[in-house]
Amino acid sequence: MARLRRAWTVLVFLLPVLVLFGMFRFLPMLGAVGLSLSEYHLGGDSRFVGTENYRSLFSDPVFLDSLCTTLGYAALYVPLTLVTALATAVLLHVVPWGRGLFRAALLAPYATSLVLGGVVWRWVLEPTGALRQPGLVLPALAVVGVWKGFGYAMLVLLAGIGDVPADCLEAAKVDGASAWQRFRHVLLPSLRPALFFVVVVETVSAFQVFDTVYVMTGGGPARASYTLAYAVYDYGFRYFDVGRAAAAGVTLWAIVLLVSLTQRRAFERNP
Amino acid sequence: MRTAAVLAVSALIAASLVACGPGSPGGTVTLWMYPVIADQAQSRAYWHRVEAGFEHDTGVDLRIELQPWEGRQEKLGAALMAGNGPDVVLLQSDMIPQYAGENALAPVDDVVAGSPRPYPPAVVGALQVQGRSYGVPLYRTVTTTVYNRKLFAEAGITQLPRTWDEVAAAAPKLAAHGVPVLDYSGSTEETLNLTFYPLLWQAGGSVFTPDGRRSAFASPEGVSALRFLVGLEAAGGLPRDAATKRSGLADDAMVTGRAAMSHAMTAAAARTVVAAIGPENTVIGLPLQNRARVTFGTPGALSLLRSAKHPEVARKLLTYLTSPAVAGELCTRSGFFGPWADAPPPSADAVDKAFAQALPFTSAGDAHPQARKVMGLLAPHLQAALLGEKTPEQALAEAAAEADALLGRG
Repeated sequence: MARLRRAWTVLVFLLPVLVLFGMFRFLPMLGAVGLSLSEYHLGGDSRFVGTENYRSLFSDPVFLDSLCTTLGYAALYVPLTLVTALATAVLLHVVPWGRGLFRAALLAPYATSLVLGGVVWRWVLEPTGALRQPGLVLPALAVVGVWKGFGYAMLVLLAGIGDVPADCLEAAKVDGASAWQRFRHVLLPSLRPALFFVVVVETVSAFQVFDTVYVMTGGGPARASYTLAYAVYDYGFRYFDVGRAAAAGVTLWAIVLLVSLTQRRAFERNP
Repeated sequence: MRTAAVLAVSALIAASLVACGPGSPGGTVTLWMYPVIADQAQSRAYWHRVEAGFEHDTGVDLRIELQPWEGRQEKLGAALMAGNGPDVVLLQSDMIPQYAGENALAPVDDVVAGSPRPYPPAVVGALQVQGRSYGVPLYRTVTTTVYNRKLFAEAGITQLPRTWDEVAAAAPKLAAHGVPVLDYSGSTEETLNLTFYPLLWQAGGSVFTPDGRRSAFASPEGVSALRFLVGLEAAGGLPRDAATKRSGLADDAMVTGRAAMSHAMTAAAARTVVAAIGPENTVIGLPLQNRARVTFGTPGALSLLRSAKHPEVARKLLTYLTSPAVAGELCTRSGFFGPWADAPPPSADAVDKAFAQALPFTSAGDAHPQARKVMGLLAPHLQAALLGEKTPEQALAEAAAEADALLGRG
């Protein structure tokens, strides 16, 4: 009886979140799946076309290229963010004074509008020609993404470092471990849960990159920064190909889910 | 006392409900309009008068929502998908086949036929899809060539270039002075109607085959148009960032005196150039001549959305807005040309007179439901050619393959 009451209590407390999640996440997702199986017209007419949208997407070289571009961006953005966030978190942890001030300063880009930041970065990068070179545009966008995103990852890792028992680090020091050895063999393994969280969150963010591309490059030059999220926008809002846009969105969701599960499995296998 | 208070509150609630009800007995109609009149104060005053005039004449509640040009397609599309679209909207002729193809527009043949002043057949034809009119002409825009005479003179060029060959010959001379001969904005956000397409048409090419089933821009004419641009780029004849540049009035290369000419400039932009570099340095010429002398010009039209809640009221609005008195004043204040066959230039200033010379050479382009998509497919390949990543032949052939695959999907 007590167990049943406890279950009900948990459910009541979870209900607001479940309702909001259902209304604003789950139902729209179901709607997107429905749209991806239909041909929808702006006039309101739609007809069921089965998997035709998926078939046409996966035979479209532009879509497949956008998939490769997104993978390329993620391959640059995630490690860069991780390294920058880890380095700044460690530095912040050891800095003897002004930690709050530095933390606030480093977190400032995260609190800044990405569109605004993108416009400013466009002005900064324009004279360098980086946004005009197909080979340089993705690294340039990744740098802007890191500038924007590393603050949040840094906070998570800083909290993780704070949880590492000080006596472990001290014991290693007493045993003669160098600073690098303490970092490599004590700090890093202790940070595994925080690192996993950061990797998953930043990977998801990398696959969804849109704002900076929209503001800074418009997917160019010569589609060198034409990402999956930008393709979804193009299909849906510029070409009104709603079914195709929904199919691309569902594909993006499936990829992110797959990557997250794979990462989780990898972290679980190597605790 | 308590009873009186309850009655008062009930009366208030009832009055509020009436106020929030269906509105005026004649219905409500919503118009999405854009900054056709560039001056904001003038624009607001004009549309306020239009709103008051229509409501006075018909007893219908008119809501005019002034939208920005930027993100126009995206906002309208999103509103229609959400079921919150307007009843009447301003569209350009090349947008109409796409919206008609989406079954989002209602035909307006009766309103077009009922106009007291006749429209030129080319204007009416540009707004038709499969023989039915989906837009009532409101105004006509025209683009043409604008030169900075001072920059040409400084490079020792006294005869302004009127043909492609002359432009190509002027490019190295101007480049030696650090000035690109032609302003060009190759960003994928730009409409090709103001960049590549006028050159394609001047070369004698077109975007689609006559039956609309395949692309036609990878033809020898298309290749010669892209070669012309790539040749200019190699000779320093285009801005350094031409492949990715976005146009913008504030930092426009012509306005700031950093480019010697533009091949497809609107009258509004030309006025900004005149104000910036002086009328003595600004020359407005005819469209460039190659195999053909042609430039982009389009009728702006009012279209009736199929989702309009009161279509008959919306038709009344179309008739009112496109009446010679109302549309005529709009053209005078906006500087656009009237849509009628016998329309004089909007005002008598030198810019209008010069643009009126270009009017007979205008083309609204190929009307095709997939025109905007094809533009989106072609633009990145043009960028690649301008960046030297592909030859003009390669770029156009690859773009044509993508466009034909799209057209093949139907």
